[in-house]
Amino acid sequence: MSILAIVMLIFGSLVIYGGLIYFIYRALKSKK
Amino acid sequence: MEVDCIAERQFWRSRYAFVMAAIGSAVGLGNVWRFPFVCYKNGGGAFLIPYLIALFTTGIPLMILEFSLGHWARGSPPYCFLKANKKFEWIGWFASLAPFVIASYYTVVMAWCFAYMIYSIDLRWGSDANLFFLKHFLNATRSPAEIGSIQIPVLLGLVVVWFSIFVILYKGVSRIGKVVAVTVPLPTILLVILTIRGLTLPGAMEGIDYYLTPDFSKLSHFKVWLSAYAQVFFSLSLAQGILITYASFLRKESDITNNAFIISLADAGTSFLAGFAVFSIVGYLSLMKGIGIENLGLAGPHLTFVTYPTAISLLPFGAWLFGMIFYIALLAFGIDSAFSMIEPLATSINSKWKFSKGKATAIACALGFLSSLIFVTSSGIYWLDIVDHFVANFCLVLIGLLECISLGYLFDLKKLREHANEVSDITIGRWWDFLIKFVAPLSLLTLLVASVVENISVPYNNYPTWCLLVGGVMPGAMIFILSFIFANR
Repeated sequence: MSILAIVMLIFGSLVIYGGLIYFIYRALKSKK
Repeated sequence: MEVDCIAERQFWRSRYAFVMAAIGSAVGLGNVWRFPFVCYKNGGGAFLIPYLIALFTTGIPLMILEFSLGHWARGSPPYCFLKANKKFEWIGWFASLAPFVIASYYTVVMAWCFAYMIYSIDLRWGSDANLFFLKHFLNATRSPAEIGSIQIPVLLGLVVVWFSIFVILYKGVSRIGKVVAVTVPLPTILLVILTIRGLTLPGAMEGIDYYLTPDFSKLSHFKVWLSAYAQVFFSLSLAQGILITYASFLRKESDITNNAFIISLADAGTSFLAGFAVFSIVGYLSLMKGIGIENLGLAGPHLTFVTYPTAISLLPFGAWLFGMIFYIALLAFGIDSAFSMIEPLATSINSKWKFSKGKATAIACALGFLSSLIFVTSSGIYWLDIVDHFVANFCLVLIGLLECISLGYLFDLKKLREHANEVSDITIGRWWDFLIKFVAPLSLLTLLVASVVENISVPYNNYPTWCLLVGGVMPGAMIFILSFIFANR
């Protein structure tokens, strides 16, 4: 895999999965 | 005038059930057979930039808008629009009928998946999956003008799919909640298994390179940005009355904004993951066959029923098992989307004419099944292509635009924003009004104009004009007229 492909993999994962985890965490914290 | 009886409305049993149902609706076949290809075609990893911008500037704001409307008005899509303004009821009908048309051919693709799941046992497609798919399985004619006969294996699969939709829907949201608890996590787990298997194959990394190596020069192309907004819009089940209907079943104190973020990012996450499952195995196939990746079918039915089965046949061991896993995953992804497309119409019939939920669902499913029959014929693949192209590119985009204009300009949008903020953990500011009033309609209008220009300059896929009129213009015109008729009864 090229370096640039790895960079985009990290970027995509961070924003998408990181964001998902963050909002799930907020949902769990709110106990709604 | 339509009156919704809130007292009789059902509610989601939990926040989890609602979120899962909405994720199930958004995540469908398109996440597997559209996103990876669109990404590869539009700059690889660089496409993630316009895609994420489109997600945050149009996809999520529109989802919040639909959730807020459904939760505020608490009714079927026609009722919600009626409550916003008595002249808007037809927009709700338009939004309920469009997904019904989509379901009529979407269920046929699921019937294909069902048949292929069974064919996986003995890898029935043999060494030439293309020949098997077009000649033996579909018995495809040479053009849509030659209708041909009904294909029995597809018809049997279709009966199973429509019956499943009816069984899931007729008891209401409590059953939907139970179904999505299985059908949303299951295909995601299967997709992870397929990805791991794919990544362990020789040639997989070359495939991933094709998928993710960024070509930043493409970011200056207008068409790439248009593709990003189209991908986000079509993937999130927007403008189909689905999200409005689902949100109307939420309890009064339920969150809206945070749920919209979770659902949108889960949809994006599934698409991103699917790219690894697709391109790893495509890389393997390219290596084994000595064919360049760019020359393989990487999207739509060709990817699913030709490229993927060919690659599966070449697996060193457990080919049948991975074939089954792939088609079960597609079926599970598809069923949630399919029944969610019927739910707005069933709820609207139930609400407008006071039929029981079971009866309204039976009417919607029976009509849907009958509408599907044209796609089961030997020419079905062409008609499916035509109807899909026109309904998605014109009807859905037009409905999205109508939503933005009617709620953004002819209604007090602040009411919906305040309603969302009252019940949500995350509050939205005036920036949301700006996105709904300017950014979303502008992107949708651009999509609509681009589609009109493209279709006027070159007939879609060079199909005969009368076929485009019958398969493309007629269904759209029919549901548009029906929307007014239903709204005025």
